[in-house]
Amino acid sequence: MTTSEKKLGDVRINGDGAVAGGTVGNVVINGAGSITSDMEANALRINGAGSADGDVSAKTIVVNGQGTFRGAVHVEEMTVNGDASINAGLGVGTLKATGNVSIGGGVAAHDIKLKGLLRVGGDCDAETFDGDGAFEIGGLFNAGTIDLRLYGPSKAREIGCERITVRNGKKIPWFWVWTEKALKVDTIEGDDISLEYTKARVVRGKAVTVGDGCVVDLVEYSHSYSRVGDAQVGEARKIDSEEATTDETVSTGDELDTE
Amino acid sequence: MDTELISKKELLQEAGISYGQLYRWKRKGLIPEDWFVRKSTFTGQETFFPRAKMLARVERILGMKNEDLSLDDIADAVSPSLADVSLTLAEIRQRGLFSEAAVDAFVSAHPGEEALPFGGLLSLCVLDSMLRTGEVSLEEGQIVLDALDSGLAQFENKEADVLFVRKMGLSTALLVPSSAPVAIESGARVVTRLGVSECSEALSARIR
Repeated sequence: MTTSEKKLGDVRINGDGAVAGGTVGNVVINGAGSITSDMEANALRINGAGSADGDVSAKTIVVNGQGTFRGAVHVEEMTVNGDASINAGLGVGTLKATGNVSIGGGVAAHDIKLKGLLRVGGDCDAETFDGDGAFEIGGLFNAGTIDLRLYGPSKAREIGCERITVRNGKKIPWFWVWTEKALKVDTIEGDDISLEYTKARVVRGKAVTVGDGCVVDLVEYSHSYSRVGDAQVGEARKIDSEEATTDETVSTGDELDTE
Repeated sequence: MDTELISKKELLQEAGISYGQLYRWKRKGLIPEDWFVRKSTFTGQETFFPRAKMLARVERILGMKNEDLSLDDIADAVSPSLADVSLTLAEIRQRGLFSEAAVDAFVSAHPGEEALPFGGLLSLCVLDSMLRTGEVSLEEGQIVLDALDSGLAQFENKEADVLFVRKMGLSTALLVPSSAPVAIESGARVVTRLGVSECSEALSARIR
C-alpha cells in the first residue's frame, strides 16, 4: 500500500459485535464478531471467532481460531490456524493452513500448504499442493505438483497433475485419532506418479511407481513402471505414446502379477 | 455441429501430449470446462472431448507455444476478453471485416447505431458467417439477428450454437447450448448450425 492511496476506515471489534461490510481498510476481530454483508478489505484478521455473511475479498486474511464465511472468498494470502469454513468458492493466491479448512464450492489456488485437513466440495485447482494430513476433494483435484504425507483417510474423485508423490506420514500423536491412512481415488492421471497407501481404480502416467500399501486395479504407463514392496496391482499396461520411448524401463520388486 | 467424441487417451496419443500438459492447460483455462464430457464406459467413468474442436484447439495451443507465447498469452487468444472493444460502422466497412450485405442487414435491424460494442460485433459476425453459407437469405438473416439480440445475453458464460431451421418455406432461428443435442420433427430441417464461440475466436483474430 502506498500512502497516496485513499485511507480507508479500519474496523475493530473487541468482545462481541456485528458490523456491516462495504469497502474498508484493516479489519480486526478480537473475540466474537460478524460481518453482515459483502466486504472488501485490505486485511482481515480474526482472533477468536468471526463470521461473514456475504462475499469477502481481501489482500490478506488471517484466522486464528474460527472463521465462517457464508459467501465466496477472494484473497491473495490466507492463513488459517484453527478452523475455517467457506460455504461458496475460494480463490486464493497462497493458502497456508494448520487445522481444518472446508470449502463448499470449488477452489482455485496458486499454492496450498497444509497441516491438517482440507475439504473441498467441488473441484480444486492449484499449481502446488504440499500437505501433511489429509484431503477430501469432491471433484477433480487438478494440480501442478502434489506432495502429500498421509496422516489420515484422504479421498478425491479424480486427480490430474504433472507430478504427485504420496507418502505415509510419520507418526505424530495428535493424528492418531485417524485410524486408516489411505488415499482413495477413482483415477490418477499425471506425468510423474509415485504412490504409497493409495487405493485407485486406474493410475495413468509417464513414469509410475506404486509402493507400499497400494491397491491399484489398472496401471497404464508410457515410459516406466515399477512396483515396490507389498503393492497390489491388478494389471499394468504399457501404452505407446507419440513421444520418444528410448529410455523406457520396467522394474518390479518381484514378479509382475498380471490378472 | 460435429458431435463426434474423442477419448482422452486417444487424444493424448494423436496429439502427442501428456496428461500433465492437458491438466495444466485446463487449469489455465485454455480448454473450456464443458468440453470435458464424462461418460460411463465398461471400464468406468471416462472423459471425452468433442473431437474436431479439441484437436483444432490442441494444434493451436502447440502452434502458439512454438512461437514462444506463454500459456497466459495463449489463454487470452483462445478465450478472448474483448468486452471493451468497440468499432464504428465506418471502421467496420473500411476494414472490410464483414461482407457489405451483412453490414447493411445489421444496420437496417439496428438503425441509428454508429458504434458496435463486442456483443454487436459478435452478432454481426454470426450473421455474416450464416449468410456466407449461402443457405440463409438476407431476409432470414433478420430472424437470426432477432434471436441473437434477444437470447445471446443468457449464454454469457456458456457456449451457444445458432440453429437455423426451415420447414415448408417457414424459417426460424434458435440459440441452444453447444453441448446440447437437438431433435426435430422429420418435416423440418436444420439448415445450418454455427458455434458462437468459434465466431468469437475468429472475430478476435480478425480485429487484432
